[in-house]
Amino acid sequence: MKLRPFITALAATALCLSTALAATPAPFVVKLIGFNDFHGNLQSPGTFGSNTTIPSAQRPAVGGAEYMAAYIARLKSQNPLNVVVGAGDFIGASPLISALFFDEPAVETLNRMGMEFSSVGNHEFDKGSAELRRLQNGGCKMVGGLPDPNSCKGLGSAAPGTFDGAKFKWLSANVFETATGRPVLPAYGVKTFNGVKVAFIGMTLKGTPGIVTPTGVAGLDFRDEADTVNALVPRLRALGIESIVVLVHQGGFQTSPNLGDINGCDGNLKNTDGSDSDIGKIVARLDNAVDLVISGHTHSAYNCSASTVDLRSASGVITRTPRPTGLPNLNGRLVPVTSASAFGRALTDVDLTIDPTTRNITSVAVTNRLVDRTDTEINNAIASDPSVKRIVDGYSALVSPLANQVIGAITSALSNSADIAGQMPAGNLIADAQLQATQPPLVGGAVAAFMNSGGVRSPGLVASAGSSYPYNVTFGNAFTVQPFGNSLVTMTLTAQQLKNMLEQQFVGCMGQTTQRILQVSNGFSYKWSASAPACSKVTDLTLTPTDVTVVPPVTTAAPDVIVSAGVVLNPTKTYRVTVNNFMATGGDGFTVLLGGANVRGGAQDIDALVAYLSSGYKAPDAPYNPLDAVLHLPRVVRLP
Amino acid sequence: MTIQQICIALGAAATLGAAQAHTHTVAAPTTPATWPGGKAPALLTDPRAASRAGMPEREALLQAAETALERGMVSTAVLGFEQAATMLHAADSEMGLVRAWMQAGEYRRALAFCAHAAGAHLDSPSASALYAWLLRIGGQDTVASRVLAQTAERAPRDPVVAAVRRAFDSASPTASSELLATPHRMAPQGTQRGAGQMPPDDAQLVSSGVLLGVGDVALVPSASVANGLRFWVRDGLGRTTEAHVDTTPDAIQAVGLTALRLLSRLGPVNISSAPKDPFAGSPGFAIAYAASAAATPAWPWLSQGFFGGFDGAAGLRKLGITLPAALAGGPVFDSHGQLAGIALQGAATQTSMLPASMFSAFAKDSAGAMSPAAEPDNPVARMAPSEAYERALTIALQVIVLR
Repeated sequence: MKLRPFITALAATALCLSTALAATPAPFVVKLIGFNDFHGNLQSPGTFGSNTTIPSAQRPAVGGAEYMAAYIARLKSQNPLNVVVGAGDFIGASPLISALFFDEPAVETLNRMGMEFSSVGNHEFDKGSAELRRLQNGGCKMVGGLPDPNSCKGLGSAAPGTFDGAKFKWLSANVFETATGRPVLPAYGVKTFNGVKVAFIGMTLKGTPGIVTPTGVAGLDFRDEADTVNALVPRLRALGIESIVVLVHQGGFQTSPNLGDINGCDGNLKNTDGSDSDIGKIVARLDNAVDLVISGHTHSAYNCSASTVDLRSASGVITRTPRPTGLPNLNGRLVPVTSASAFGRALTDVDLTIDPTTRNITSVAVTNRLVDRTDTEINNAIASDPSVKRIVDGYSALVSPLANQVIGAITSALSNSADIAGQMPAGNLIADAQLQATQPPLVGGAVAAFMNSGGVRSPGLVASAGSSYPYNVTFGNAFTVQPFGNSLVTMTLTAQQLKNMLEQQFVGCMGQTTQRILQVSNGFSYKWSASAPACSKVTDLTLTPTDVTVVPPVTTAAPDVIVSAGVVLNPTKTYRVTVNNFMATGGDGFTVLLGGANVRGGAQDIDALVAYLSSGYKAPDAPYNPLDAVLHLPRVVRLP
Repeated sequence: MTIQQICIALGAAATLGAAQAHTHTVAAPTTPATWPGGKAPALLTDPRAASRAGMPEREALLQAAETALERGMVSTAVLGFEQAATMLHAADSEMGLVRAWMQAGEYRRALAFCAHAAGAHLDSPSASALYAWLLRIGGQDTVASRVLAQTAERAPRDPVVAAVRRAFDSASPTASSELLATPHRMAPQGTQRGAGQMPPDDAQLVSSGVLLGVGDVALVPSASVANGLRFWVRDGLGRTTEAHVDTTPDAIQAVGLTALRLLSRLGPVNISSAPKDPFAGSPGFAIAYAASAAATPAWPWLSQGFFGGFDGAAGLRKLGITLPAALAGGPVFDSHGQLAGIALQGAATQTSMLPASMFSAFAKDSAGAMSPAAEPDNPVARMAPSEAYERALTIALQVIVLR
C-alpha cells in the first residue's frame, strides 16, 4: 500500500467525520399527548385520586371537555412539536349529553381539543360502520330522508344545522369489510417532525365482534392485532419510517402488591393468576420496530415505562420507588405501554426523543397526569377562552325533556309571512300572548302589546314535516319562533307617543331606515296610508279594551278612538303598553319608546307564548284558530 | 458532491431548521379478508364475572362494599367497589359504584357512569334497567323508555327488565321485590340519623315534604299528618329521622301545610329560594315521591314542565307541571334550580303550588338559613334536569306516619 493515497483517504475521512460531527443533528423531543375511553364525557365524571391511598374527600374533581382542552393546550404550549392521539372508545356508552345527539358533541369537543389520530375502539362500532363514517366525515343523521331533530345541533360545528365530522382521523388497521376486503378506515397516520416521520397505527381489539351489537359489526372482519402491526412494519420502513407508535384499544389492569398509582405498573399488568393480560399478549408478539403502545379499553390508568413508580404502603408510610418497566416484545425488549384511565380523568404526557439520524425514537418519558379541575391556571385559561365550555353548556341545556312537550294546539299554520298591511298570523298570536302576560294590574296593567316583526322567526308556528292540523305545538316549535330570550317590558306612553311609535314604523320618519310594521295585540287597530308622506301615514287608531286573559277574549269597554283622520284626539292621555326589552331600548329604530314612563320588567317572551297557548288552547281545550272572529282581524289596514 | 452530500450518503443527516410537522394517513393494504377459525369469541363482560366465587378476593370486596352501603358508609363502599372494578371489567361492580354515588347524592355522576355501565355491558340487562330507572326518575321519560325497550329486545325474559317495565307502566312507579335486589337495587339504602328509631313496618308513606332551614325543619301537607301518632321524614339519600309537629304560623297553616321539627338534622340545605315567583309559562321542575303501600326508601321523581298562572285569591299558583300519581308536598324549582314553591294537591286533577314567597320568611325565621338567591346573571340560562334532580335529593322528603 502506498502511503500517500492512504494518508489522503485518511484525511478525507477525518474531514468527513469532523464535518459530520459538526453537522450531526441533535436529537429532538416530540410531545405526545394521549388518552383513551373518553366515552363522550363532556362533563366531569366526578372525583378521582391518583392512587388508592387518596381519601375520597381529598380526591379532586376531574375531567370535562373544557378542562381536557385546557390541559392539552398547556402541554402543547410546552413544545411546538406535538401530537394528540387516542386509543379508542371516544364515543358510545356515553352520557345523555352526548348520546342524545348521536355523539356529535363528543366529536365536536374532541376536535376542539386538537385530537389528531385515534384508534377505533369497540364502542366506535356500536351503531355500525356507516354511522362511524358519518361521524368521521360529517353530515346530519338522516331518518326517513330528514335530519333527525337531535342531529346537527352544531354547537361545536361550523353553524347550527351542520355537523363538521371528526377533524381527527380514526384509524382501524385491523378492521376490514368482508365483502370487499377493503379497510373500513385508514390503517395508520403519519406526522412529520423536523423531517422525521412518525407513524401511528390504530387498531381495536380483535374481539370487538363479541362485545358489540351484532348489527354494529355486520360485514366486518376484525383481525389479530399483533399480526396486523407486524405486517405493516415493513411497509412503514420502506417509507423511511422508523418511529412507530401503536394506538390499540386493548389493555390490562394493575394488580397487587402496590397501590395502583396512575404512574404505576403493578404486577406488570399480569392477570391475578399470573398469566399475561390481553395487552401483554399483544405486545409480546410485536415487532421490535414498535416504540410505544398507547392502550385503553380497561379504563385503568397505568404507566409501564422507564418512568414507572412503585407506590407502597407499609405501616401507613407510603414509599415511592422508581422501577423502570415496560412490557416485553417479541425480542424481549421492554416496550412502554400506557393507559390514561377513562372518561377524561387523566392524560398521558409523553416526551419522545427522536434521533434524526436514525429517524428512530431513542427514549420515551411518560407521565400520566390528572385532569384536575381545581387547577387555578387551568381555570383561568378556561375563563379566557370559554369556547369549549360554551359547547358543553349548550348541550347541557339541550338535554331537556322540555323540547317535545306539547304546549297547545293550532288549527292551521301560523306563518311569519306578512300580509300587505304587515300582519303575520304568528305575530298576532305573540302580541296577544305578551298582552296576556302583562295585562293583570299586578304584572303591568297593559292594554296593548307590540312585537317587532323581525323577532317573529321563521317559519312561524307550523306543523312539522309529516304532521297535519290540528297540530300540537311543542315547546321546541315555540322556541324556534321566539329564540332570543327577550323579556317583556311594560311602560306608559301618551297617545301622541303611541302615534309617533306607529309613524316610526315607516322609512324616513324619525330616523327609520327600513319599514318595520309591528305586530299588535287584540283590540288595537289602525290604518296606514302607503302614499302619505313620512310621519303622516297613520290615519285612524282605535283601542277596544279586550281581556285576553280569558278564552275566548272579551271586549270590556267601548272603543277608544285615539287617532282620527291623522289627528291625535287626546295627545296627553296615557296607556300602558308592552314591548320586548329589545324594542324598549330603541331597537329596530323605535327611539320613541325610550321616552316611555313607569317602566316595569316582566316575563320572558317565550314564557308568555307558552303560558298563552297552554292556558287556553291545549287539549282538552279547543285549538287556537287564527281566523277566529274573536281575534278581531284585521288589526292593521293598509290604505293606498 | 459536497461534503454535506457525502456525509448524508454516509448516513449523517443534516440538522434541520425550525420545528415543523405535517400529517397524513394511509389505508391498510386491500388484501382479501381472511380469518382462520372464524371470528374470535369474546364476552362483553369478563367471563370470570359470571363465577364470582372464582375470584374470592373480589367477591369479598363486593360483599364488604354492599355491607358498607347498607350502613351508610358511602366512602368505604365506593372504595370497595372501585377496587373490585380494577380487578375485573364487570357490570356488578359498576352498578355498585352507581348506587354508592346515588347514596352520596351524586346523581349526575351516577347517571353518566350508569350510561357507560349499560352501554359497555349489553350482556347485563340489569345495568340497562338501572340506567333506564335513573333516567326516568330524573325526568327523561322518553329516553328511559327507549333504553328499556332496547333492553327488553335483547333480553325479553329478564325478570328485572320486566319488573321495571311494569313499574313504568303503572301510575305510580315504585321499586319493590326484585328491583330492590343487588347489584341493581333501584332505591337508596335507608339509614338512621341520630337518635330515635326507624319507622316500623306498619308506618305509612303519606306524602312528600320539603326540608328547610338548616335541615332541621320540614313543611309537609297538613292532611297527611293529621291524626298521626309518630312521624318520620326521609330524604332521597335514604337518611331517616323521627320528627314531631312543630308550631306552624297561621299563614302557613291556612294553605294546608304543617311544620315538622326533626329529631336529627338531615341538612344542610344547599339551596336558595327563588328571588321572585316564577312567571306563568316559564319552565320549572317538580319533585315528588311515588305513592307506595310500603314506607320503604325510594328515590324521588322529577317532572319538568311550565308553570301555570294564578290559582284563586289565596296566593296559590297553578303548578302547571304534570305530576303523575305522585304524593303532593314536594319541592318545586324554577328554571335556575331555586326553590320556587311546594306542590299542593289542588281541586280535582289540578295541582297547585304554594309560591316560595309565601313561606320563605318562615323558613328563614325557623332556622335563619334560607334566603332568596340573587337575580341570576343570565336569566335565559336554564339548569339541566340532572342538576335539578341532584339538588332535590336532599330536600325532597318522604313523610312517614304511624297512626
